[in-house]
Amino acid sequence: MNPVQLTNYSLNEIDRFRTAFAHIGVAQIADAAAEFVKVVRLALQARTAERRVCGPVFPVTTDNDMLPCLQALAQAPAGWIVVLSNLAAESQALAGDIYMVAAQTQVLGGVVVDGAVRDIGDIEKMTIPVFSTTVTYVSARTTDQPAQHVPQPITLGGVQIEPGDWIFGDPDGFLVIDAAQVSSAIMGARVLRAREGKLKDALRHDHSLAQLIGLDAFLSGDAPLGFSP
Amino acid sequence: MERQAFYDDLAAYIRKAAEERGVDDSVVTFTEDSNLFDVGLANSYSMVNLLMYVEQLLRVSVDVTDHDPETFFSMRGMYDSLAEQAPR
Repeated sequence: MNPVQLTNYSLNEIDRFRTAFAHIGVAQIADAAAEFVKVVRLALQARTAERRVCGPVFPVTTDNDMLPCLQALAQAPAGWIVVLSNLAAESQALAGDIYMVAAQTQVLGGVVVDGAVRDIGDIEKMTIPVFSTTVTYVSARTTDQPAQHVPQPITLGGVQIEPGDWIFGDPDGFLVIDAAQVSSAIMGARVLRAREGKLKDALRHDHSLAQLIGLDAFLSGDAPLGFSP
Repeated sequence: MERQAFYDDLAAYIRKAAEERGVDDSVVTFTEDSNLFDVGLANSYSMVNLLMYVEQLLRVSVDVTDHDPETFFSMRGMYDSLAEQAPR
């Protein structure tokens, strides 16, 4: 396997995407870019007050071994999201408060763990986005067998993720999208959000949803469902 | 790209895309100022493909924070927002 060439995003560039994402949600991206998004089917729970995450993915797999996780932390560029995928059936804690303090200090965009984290009492006071599927105080061991390739492609929630793909998460769930489509997907989602805003304004001004979307005409076969404010 | 050529090319794309989605575009009239959502020629699921086509047509990259999303409701809005970024 050849070393992965990562896109050299500046932190400012990633922040622009993050700013745009702050005004939309995973749902709008999924609608706007349905053909391009990969749906992550995994129950990830936010472990800090920050319940949204967005950025290029720096992924690594492990088998209840902290060493690949430490390698990923050491190599991930600022703004990127470290994604740890534990292959073990029962995950021990791959990261705790020290790992998250380091991640926050390095200005990483977040840490997403398909597996367990620990030290929740300390992590929950932090501002960096941290998500995991489980929590346990039982720490994973650290072997002397480093991962040969970091980052590396992983499978997360049933989808293949390549280093440099973009991940988006909020309370509705997580999705991944190829970097080539991320700009159009976010802009498309912003257009949809603006459109939805007009619909909600119309609803607040005493129009019914059925009227606004032309439900009667649709049911009688005269017109497609649509929305005219 | 000249404005009228942009409108003509994009209108043809929009009609074709709508037709592929099963929209009867023969009964739809629209101009460069029409809100493409209002006339039923754009919807949630066509938006990104439409933006990608516009980027390709004008040879620009849409910045995710620079533009007011409502400018993408119409062909004129798209051209006004993006054409000046296009290579001459």
